[in-house]
Amino acid sequence: MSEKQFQQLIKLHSDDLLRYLTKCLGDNDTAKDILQDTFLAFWNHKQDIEIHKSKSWLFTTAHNNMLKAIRHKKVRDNATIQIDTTSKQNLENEQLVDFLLKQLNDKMRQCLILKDWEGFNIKEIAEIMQMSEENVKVCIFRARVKLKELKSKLEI
Amino acid sequence: MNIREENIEIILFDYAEGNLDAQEQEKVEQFLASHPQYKEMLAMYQENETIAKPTDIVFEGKDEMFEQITGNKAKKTFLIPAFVKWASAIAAVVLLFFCIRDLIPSEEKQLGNTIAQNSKIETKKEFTETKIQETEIKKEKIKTKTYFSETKNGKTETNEEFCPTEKTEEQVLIAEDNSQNVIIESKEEHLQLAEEIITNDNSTTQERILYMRYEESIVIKEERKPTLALRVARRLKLDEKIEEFYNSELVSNTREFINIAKSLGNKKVKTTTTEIRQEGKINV
Repeated sequence: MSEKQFQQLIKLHSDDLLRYLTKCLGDNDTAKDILQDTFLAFWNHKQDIEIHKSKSWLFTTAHNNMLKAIRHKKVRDNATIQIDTTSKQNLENEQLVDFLLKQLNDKMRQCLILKDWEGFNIKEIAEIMQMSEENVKVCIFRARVKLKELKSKLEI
Repeated sequence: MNIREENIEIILFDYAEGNLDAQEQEKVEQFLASHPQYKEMLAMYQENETIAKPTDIVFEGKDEMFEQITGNKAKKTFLIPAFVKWASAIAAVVLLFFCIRDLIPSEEKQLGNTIAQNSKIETKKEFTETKIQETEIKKEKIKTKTYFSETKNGKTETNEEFCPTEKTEEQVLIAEDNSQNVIIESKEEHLQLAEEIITNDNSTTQERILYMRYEESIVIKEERKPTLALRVARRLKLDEKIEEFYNSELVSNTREFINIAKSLGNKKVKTTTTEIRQEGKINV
């Protein structure tokens, strides 16, 4: 892979990766660090990576780096947030999505983001998350049902 | 497909996403009919829309990251929108069209001038060729006249003596003018014309002129047709031509001489007969 191709790859996928990491971690600075580590790893392993699998490779690596960061408690796990029904009036759409996603556990949130935002199929998500396809299906199913429950509680 | 509580979420996911065939779908629907709690769960899954993609998260340090990783400076590339590319292409085509359209009249004018010049050259060339042809015809006339300038001793006079007279020249021109629709190319046609003149009492002036044009041709000499030529000349009452035949060596027997002499008048016959006897040229 040439430098020009690598530069194009950064332009194509860095925003998507940062969005995924930020929404999953809840910490923009750590997300940027992981993003940089991911692209550095890609550049170092560019000889081994098939160009049509670049996006999938980047998300898999970013996901693994994110898990490492969580394990080392570099980020605060704020997945569980008490629902404040009184504040719902102040929520804008994107803030609402952000709020709802934080109500899901890590795997459900990650699977849902990869499916809905990045357009990966079940098989690809399973590879990125290093899970079985059945587990991915269960995560996504539960995530949607839970979001619906939350929306019903918030009367959205 | 066995539907159990352990795998119901997976099956409902596939059912909602349309991954099951008709038979499997029917099984699921039967199961849901007897398990309303899962039916409600499926409805919640189906009612929930996909989550909206946020637009506020953008990574600003793309070039810096590229430079840090590769150690090289990022090249600035400008992405040109597709509609700008198309608009540029269309504008270029339109501009080219107008340029060509403006060029066409001047090119045509230039081409027209060239054609006109060439046309003049061609016309001049044709005119020159016509003149050369006319000159050749005149030369041919002069040459033809030399046949009849040959003396009985076989000596040939110079062309100067036999240059066509003013009258002959005029006749030739009239003949060419009048006979432009009559083309006599072969000696057979010439002889046929001569025969027609002899047999036709109402020979036209044009036929006479035509004969005058060709009577001196090589046909008569080569084919040894002096009698025919003489008959034509007599028919057309061309006294000068009869006289020429009389003085020529084409007539080789007494009968012909007498006939010629008769054509020229009785006086001539007597003179001729005397001369012939005296000279012993022919046996009378």
